[in-house]
Amino acid sequence: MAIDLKPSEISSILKKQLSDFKQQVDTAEVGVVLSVGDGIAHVYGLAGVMAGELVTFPGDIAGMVLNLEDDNVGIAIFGEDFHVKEGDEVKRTGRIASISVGDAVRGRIVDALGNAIDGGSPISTSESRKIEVKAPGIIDRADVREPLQTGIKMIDALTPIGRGQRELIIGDRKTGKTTIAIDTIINQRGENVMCFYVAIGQKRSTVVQVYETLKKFGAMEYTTIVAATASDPAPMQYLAPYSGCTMAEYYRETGKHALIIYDDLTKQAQAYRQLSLLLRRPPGREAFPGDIFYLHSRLLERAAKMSPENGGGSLTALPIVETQANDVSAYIPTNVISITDGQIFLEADTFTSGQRPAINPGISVSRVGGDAQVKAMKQTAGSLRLELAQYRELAGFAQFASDLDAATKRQLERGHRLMQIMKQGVHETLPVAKQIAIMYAGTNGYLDDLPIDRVRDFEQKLYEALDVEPQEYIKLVNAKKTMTDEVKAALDRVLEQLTGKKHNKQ
Amino acid sequence: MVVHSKAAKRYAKALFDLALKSGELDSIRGDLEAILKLMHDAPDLVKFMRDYMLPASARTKTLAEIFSSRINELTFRFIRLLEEKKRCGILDNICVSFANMHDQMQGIIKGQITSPIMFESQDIQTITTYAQTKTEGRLVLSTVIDPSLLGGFKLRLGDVVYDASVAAQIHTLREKMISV
Repeated sequence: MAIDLKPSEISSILKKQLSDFKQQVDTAEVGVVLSVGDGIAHVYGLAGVMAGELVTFPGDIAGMVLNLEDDNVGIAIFGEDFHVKEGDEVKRTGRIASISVGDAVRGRIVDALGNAIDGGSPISTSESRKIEVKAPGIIDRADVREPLQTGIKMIDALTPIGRGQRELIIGDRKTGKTTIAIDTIINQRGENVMCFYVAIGQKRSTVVQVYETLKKFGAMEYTTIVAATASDPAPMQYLAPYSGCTMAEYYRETGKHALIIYDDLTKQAQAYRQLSLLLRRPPGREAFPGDIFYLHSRLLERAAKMSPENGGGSLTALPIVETQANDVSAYIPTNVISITDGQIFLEADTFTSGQRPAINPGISVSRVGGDAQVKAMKQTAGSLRLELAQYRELAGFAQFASDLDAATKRQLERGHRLMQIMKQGVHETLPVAKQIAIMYAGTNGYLDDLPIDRVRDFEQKLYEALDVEPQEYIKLVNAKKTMTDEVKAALDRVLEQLTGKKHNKQ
Repeated sequence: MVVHSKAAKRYAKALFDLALKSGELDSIRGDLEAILKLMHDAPDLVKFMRDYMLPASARTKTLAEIFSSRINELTFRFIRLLEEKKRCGILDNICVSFANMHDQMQGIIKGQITSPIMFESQDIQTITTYAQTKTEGRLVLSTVIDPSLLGGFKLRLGDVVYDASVAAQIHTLREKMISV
């Protein structure tokens, strides 16, 4: 877009500004920097300052008051601390840290303070909200009831996620945690769910990758990325999840639905540890400060499903936590596991063996998602969970025995095939009807006669066959949402056509 | 003024309370101000105060020689207490703390006028009169020269700054122009 402005007009605008400019006295409450280092400034004065208030250093560097002490104030600097010198004047703003919210942030990349960092125009919204607010109360909430489809078979079948739920994604590095989160965002296309991806302490190149992926799948239209990368000061990394949450809450409060991903909270905890130690707060276990649990619990409590009287909006949170060598009993993982409504466990061994997504179905749970699961899926996946559990038990045992009876063998073969259909490619999300179809095929023995290496081909063919008009099954299941005999019959017809023979269910 | 040491505040408070009781506040404040000035003018004294490697007897004797009979009896007893507790090193901080407490009790508010050039006493009087309307306490204003203000002045009362300098005006104008 070309700017339609002539130089003479600019001059006249500026002249007008100049002539309108009145001399005014600028009043501010100030303090003096006593010491500064590692992103923390200790300031003398500022007697009336509030905890959490924003202050400005010379050069318009922002800071947030974290410690109020007898004779000085501890301030986290949101910027380069080498611009701040001893003796500098620090001004109060009178505002508690807040951030612009609304539709203007959609499709943008912003930093922890809500400034655009994607090279686009500055974000202008009429509304701004406090970054730290209390989570909704008990009466304001409702049960988690509606499903939030991730498009990933294994999650939607075994650990379903409901709108307003908090489901932890946990695993070692390089096990596909971020991929699950990104796929979930991609799958929200057309679902009217606003997505927020908060990148904490990641490489900038990784954030670009995420952005490009989302853009490629058209997901940036309804997504905002909040980025506090590894090179940003620790206070920014500490604040980013709260900023993202505040932006997402705007939708929850206005009766809409939002999804937020915190990638990852381990890094946020580390940033907060750094901040706390520099503020001389006493260290506890693993040198984390005493309020590290509260740091995460108050953040995740803000994810909620609101009651119909409050608009019925929802905010679903998918926090990510990285473990070291599968150790889930470390401090941060145990904390976050206990806060969330379930967890999706990813394992490096499973990942390297080619079973991807590398979710361990045995220890992954969803405490509230069951109520929200699509009924048809619940009916189909019920037996799936059982069969997978039996398979795991037998698989370990079968390694020792050479001779197995026919029943056990059949169960093992079934298990192998079920594990095959649990596999799913990156960014290949599936609508719930198709997920149900393949699981129905697996649990009802349609795959038993197929060689294992043909199972995935069959899966592809099934999806293609389902898409063929008149799409009887898909329309039926989407309308009824349960596996009635009618739906089953429609699906059986497609499957029998594909296998080329009449099938006896077992 | 900034006081870093918590201990200094406690010692100062004790001395302040005693002085208040015996009604010797002004004379003790005078003593402490003189000591502070002395320490400022004679860095050797500061060094001596902090040097506990000297034999205690020598220190006591020297302290007595410097201070006794020149200052209030209570002040001298206070210094001897500090010596006994090996806290002479924070005497300067104590002096500042004491002065702050005294000012606070009298409702004195310290202010500062910053200007790019030396103001005429008449101008300072005008500013002081203006400043007096902004606060209820007794004002004690000091002046500082800072050419970077370009023009106008800056008035600081406690933690509040009234910025009527040309530099600040230009800055605001600049921001306004950018945002057009």
